[in-house]
Amino acid sequence: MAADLMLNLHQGRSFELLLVEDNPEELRAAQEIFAQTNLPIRVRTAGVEETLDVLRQEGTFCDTPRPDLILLELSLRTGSAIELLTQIKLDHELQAIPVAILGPPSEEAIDTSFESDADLYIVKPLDAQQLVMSVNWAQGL
Amino acid sequence: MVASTMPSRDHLARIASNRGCPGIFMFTLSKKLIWADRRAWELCRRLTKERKAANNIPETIKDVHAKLLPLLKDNKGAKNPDDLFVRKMVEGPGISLLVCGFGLPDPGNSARSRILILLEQIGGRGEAAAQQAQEIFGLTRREVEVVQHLLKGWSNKAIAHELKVSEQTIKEHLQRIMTKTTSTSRTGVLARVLFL
Repeated sequence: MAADLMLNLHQGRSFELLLVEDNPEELRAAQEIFAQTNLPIRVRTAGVEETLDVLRQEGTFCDTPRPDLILLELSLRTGSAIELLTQIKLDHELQAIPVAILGPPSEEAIDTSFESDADLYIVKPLDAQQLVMSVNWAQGL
Repeated sequence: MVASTMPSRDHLARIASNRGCPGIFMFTLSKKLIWADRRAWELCRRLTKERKAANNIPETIKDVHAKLLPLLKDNKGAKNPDDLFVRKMVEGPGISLLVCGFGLPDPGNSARSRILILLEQIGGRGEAAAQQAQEIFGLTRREVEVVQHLLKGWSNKAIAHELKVSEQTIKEHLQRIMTKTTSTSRTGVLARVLFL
């Protein structure tokens, strides 16, 4: 790792990360980062449509564990990330799950994300340091 | 100011844990913000809104970044992590922030080195800090009250109004507080009180 950031994962339990991304190229790039870092985390991916079902453990996702962190792409092709974020943060059972927005380096985008109750903002492209920071943050540093 | 006369990272971590969660930013060496948490952004927004600044990143953060930059660029001073530490305070109407910058060097590729900025609002712990200062620096009860308001970021005028005395009286209190704490400025007083 470039920066000397330590991961403090709870022993005996993997860190669950949900990546909400509907662009295949971006998805592939993110998965490469996950592989590079070799972090002991379990990554699931979901599109806009299924994210709430995954989080609410509905239907075929009834056995899917709730994530410890959601990485949410701001510029989704098939829906609004901000609307999805709002739905998550309005749901009493889901609102405690940290959400990190993946977006551009624009103050307006950062403002919009935090005003919509995002917990973190990561300026794209995602790199290993940002990922480790986010995982550590989600675990209370 | 750089590390040698500053508290160690462990000391800083203890202080932070006593005060609650700080806001966090991560920057590249080229000053590009690449990671932020909501608390850091909101603290800056409160500060910059008051100042009607066009950019949400206060100059103080840029200053801290600028001081860490040469240390990281040449990768000197990285032997002791505490050498890659800078802190400053920034005050605005109704808000005071402690800004702590940490250099995260990448010995293999300095372009991948990072600067971590922790922001903490001062004031939550003000009463306890001011009481401690009373014992250590021998402040009077009135001087402690002045320090408590300073920790909230209040101006002399606001303190004078609150304590129902003249602004001149507050200036005199401040002068005595500076003498007792061997400081030469308001910020110096706060730094002395907060880093007892």
